[in-house]
Amino acid sequence: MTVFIQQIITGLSIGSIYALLAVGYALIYSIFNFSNFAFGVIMMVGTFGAVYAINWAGAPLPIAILAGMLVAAAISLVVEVSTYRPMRRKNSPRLYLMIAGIGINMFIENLAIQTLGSSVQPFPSDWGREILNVGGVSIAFADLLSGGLSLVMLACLWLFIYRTKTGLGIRASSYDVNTTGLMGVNVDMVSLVVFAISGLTAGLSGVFYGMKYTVYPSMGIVSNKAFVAAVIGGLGSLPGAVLGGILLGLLETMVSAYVSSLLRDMIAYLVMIVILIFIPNGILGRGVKEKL
Amino acid sequence: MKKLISLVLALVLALSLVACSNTSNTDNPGSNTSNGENSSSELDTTNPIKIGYLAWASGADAYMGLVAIAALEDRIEEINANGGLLGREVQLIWYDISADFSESVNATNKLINQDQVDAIIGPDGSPFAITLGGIVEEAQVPLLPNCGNAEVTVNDDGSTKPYVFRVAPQNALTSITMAHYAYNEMGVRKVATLTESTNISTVESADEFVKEFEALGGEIVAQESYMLNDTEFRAQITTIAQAEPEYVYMPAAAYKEVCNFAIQLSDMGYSDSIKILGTDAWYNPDALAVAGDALDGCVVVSALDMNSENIAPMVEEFAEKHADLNASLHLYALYAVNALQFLEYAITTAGSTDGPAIKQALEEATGVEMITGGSWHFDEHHDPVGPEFTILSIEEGEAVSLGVYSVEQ
Amino acid sequence: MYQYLSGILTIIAINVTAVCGLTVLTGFTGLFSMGHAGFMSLGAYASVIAMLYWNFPFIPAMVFGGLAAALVGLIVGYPTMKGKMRGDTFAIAMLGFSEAVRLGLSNIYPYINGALGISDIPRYSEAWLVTLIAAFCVYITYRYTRSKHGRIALSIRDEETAAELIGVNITWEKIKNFMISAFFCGMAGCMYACYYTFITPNTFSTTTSNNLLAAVVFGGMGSVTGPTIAAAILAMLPEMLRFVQKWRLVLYGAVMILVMLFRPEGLMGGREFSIKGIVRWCCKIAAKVNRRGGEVSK
Repeated sequence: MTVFIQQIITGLSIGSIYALLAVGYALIYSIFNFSNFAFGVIMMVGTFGAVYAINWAGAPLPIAILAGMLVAAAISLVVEVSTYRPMRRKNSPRLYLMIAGIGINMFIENLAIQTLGSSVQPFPSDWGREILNVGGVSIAFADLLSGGLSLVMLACLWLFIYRTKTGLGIRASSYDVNTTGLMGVNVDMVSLVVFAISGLTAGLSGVFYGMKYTVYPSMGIVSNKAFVAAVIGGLGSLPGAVLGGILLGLLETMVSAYVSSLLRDMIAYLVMIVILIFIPNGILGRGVKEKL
Repeated sequence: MKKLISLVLALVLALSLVACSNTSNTDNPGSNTSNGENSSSELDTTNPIKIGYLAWASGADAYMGLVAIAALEDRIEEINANGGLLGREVQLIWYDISADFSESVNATNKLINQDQVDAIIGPDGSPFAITLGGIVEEAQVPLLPNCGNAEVTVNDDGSTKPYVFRVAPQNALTSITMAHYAYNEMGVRKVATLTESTNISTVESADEFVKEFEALGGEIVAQESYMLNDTEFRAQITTIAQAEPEYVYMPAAAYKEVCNFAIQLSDMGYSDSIKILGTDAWYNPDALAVAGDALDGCVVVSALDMNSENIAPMVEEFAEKHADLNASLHLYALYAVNALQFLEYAITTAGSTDGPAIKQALEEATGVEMITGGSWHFDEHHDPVGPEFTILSIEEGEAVSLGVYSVEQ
Repeated sequence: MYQYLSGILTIIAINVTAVCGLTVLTGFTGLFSMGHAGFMSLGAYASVIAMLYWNFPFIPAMVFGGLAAALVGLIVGYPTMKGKMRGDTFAIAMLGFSEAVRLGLSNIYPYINGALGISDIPRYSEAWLVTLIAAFCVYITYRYTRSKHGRIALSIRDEETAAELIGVNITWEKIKNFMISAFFCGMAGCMYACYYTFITPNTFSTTTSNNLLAAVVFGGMGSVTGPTIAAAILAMLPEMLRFVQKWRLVLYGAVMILVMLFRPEGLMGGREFSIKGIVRWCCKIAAKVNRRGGEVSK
């Protein structure tokens, strides 16, 4: 039984990282209807921001987390303003935006590898590795913290989107960007806010990921799993993204623990395909008509 | 305006294509002349000896190639300062092969056809080296890969690939040595294995280990695996811990996975009961820096002793000189340097840079003094004879050599 | 020199063949996939088994590999198309499919040697031969997309509901185009195996899938010659960028972004490459230059 609970805890812990990343994906998707494939590098840059804040400036951990989030938000805005926005202005189909995202991912990741080195480094804070032992089940402090902060982040996001004027603009844009623009909402401003928030979540999850594991330039690859999670949960739905992330984390852990770690991803993906066959819009997804 | 830009882009593409096929050998931008004005006056720089290197120099594990390139360039600088080989300057030409599988073939063709290299070092990954045997045989250019799968030097029918000389010990040998040491010297009876399920080197290493360890009478209590880019091992650790092994054999391809595994093992409180048996495929001074004390008690089998009087100063010197790489000198770079040493010997002995002559000199060598210590030569399957396996034990974040160990046949 | 260039030509031909398939699926039917490397892998393995164990010659083995991939395409395509999967959902399902194929092949040891891969595959992929095959594939694809099948596919891409209303059997048409894309990718996989002479399940990765997709997008949706040219350029690009050494992949990413920024409709933008088109385009440019020149002289 202890073992079972331990595996559940592990699954939830992986799931929480997926969930946080998936929220960033879903947020952009819900408004602009495309998947931001540059998300992985935004997360990576944020993490390195936090690492260097500690290593170079000697910042305490909370400041470093904040710095990481701000750096990630900044790079997210740069990506939006330099690439995505000009492309949207030209009415590029969303598939084109995704390919551009893959290009950005490649560009920044390799730039980081060649300038910062591809070596792995530990996150310069042991604080996240503290372990709580509850009745034979070990829970990493970072897990509790990341789970808790993810919830806080989601709550803030919810409040922002449903209780503020800008949030109203964001919600309106998610129905129809063009019409919302005609109604006098500054759509450019909305897009900046959305990309900034998405960058903040990417930075936060990156810092937790780095704290739990290690920091290296290609760490952004984990965002592929987040993309999968966002699709399972229903693209464009924030609660769906969280649900999808947690489900994917649990599914992977359970398959690995009770079926075979050799076939883990295979079974996890096959289950996902079966889920998608029956609910093609994802668990909490909206039935929108998509066009290329 | 848009049209104009696209026209210019198209022109640039077309031009670079032409350039790509017409680059003359003299102004090849890929060449790295290591030594310029301060070379001795007798050095013949007009007709350099060209050594190719197939490097894994970008992508997630770029440090593998970049460190080796720096080490090779240092060594070549040294050679040129001492008058070069046969009075000719030595030049290193390297190409990155990390973007796609087919790149190792393309880069080898480019080295042979366009740069007309005299010999090629690398690659350090078996999937990239296995296919090159036929190409280098046709072109009669010796290839000295530093990777461990049997198929690298031997065809499926058992014949040896004539122009391929491996400068690293076979994976199988490393695994067998580890199995014997664990069973006979450490008295270990219960081992679990953890492999990267789609990586040819780790799968082969684990298979060999399991076979040998069971033949000795040991018990393999669990066989778990993970995927490329995995960082989360707690599910596997929980399963492994239930089987209660004394050690986990982990022949990982990169140290990142081992560090994460070790850290999570210690976080979950199993670090006292379960330790890691490792191989030199991942052992790297950087691993100790990342994992800290989590790797304590880990036992690693390594074909080169990083603490030896030959290598330790090299590691230090490298760290000083190439601080910008953010990576320390690793085993595969040392293998590449050894390969260069073999070539140096073969070219001097043969007195020419002819492919067949170098090949013959390499085959007939009975003992080449290695910069890393020991004297190596090749057996009939072009596998190196001479590397001695050192057992390293990691204690308080430091690797301690427990001496040389070899399996008695 | 010859070998190096013919090697690149072979890679180009392989990419073009695979992209031919994907352009039918993505450029014409409007479904995009992030996992067609899975079909290349299946085709490669099927044909290699046929060659090594049943002594098939190269071309029949290649067709066999393509058919095997198409059959799997039917098995995967039926439930996904029936379930009305599309957009990102379909792309992700295909990503999952290709990962499942990779892991599945890694764990099958009889015949295919699992993760250790198959070595010593005969090197049948001569540059001239694969180029001919690729050219033939481009021609077939071109004819197919200009036939009524291509028109139906376009109608599904542009307005699915309307297409259904006028009596198009959407599910079947999608499955058909999906199978065609799998067939071409399977053939390309076989050509790759016979060029590289060694395959492991890792040979065809997510990067391969992404490159195929990028080629279709670069080339322009709804064009056959565009993606063909784009596939050739994308295959050459890593080799062409060798002069920047370790900065190669950085530049590759940058080129990808720039092309998307400056040619958002793709290289050909739904048109086809033809001599007539070039002449017309040159005239247009000339006219523009003339006009501008006139303005300046005033």
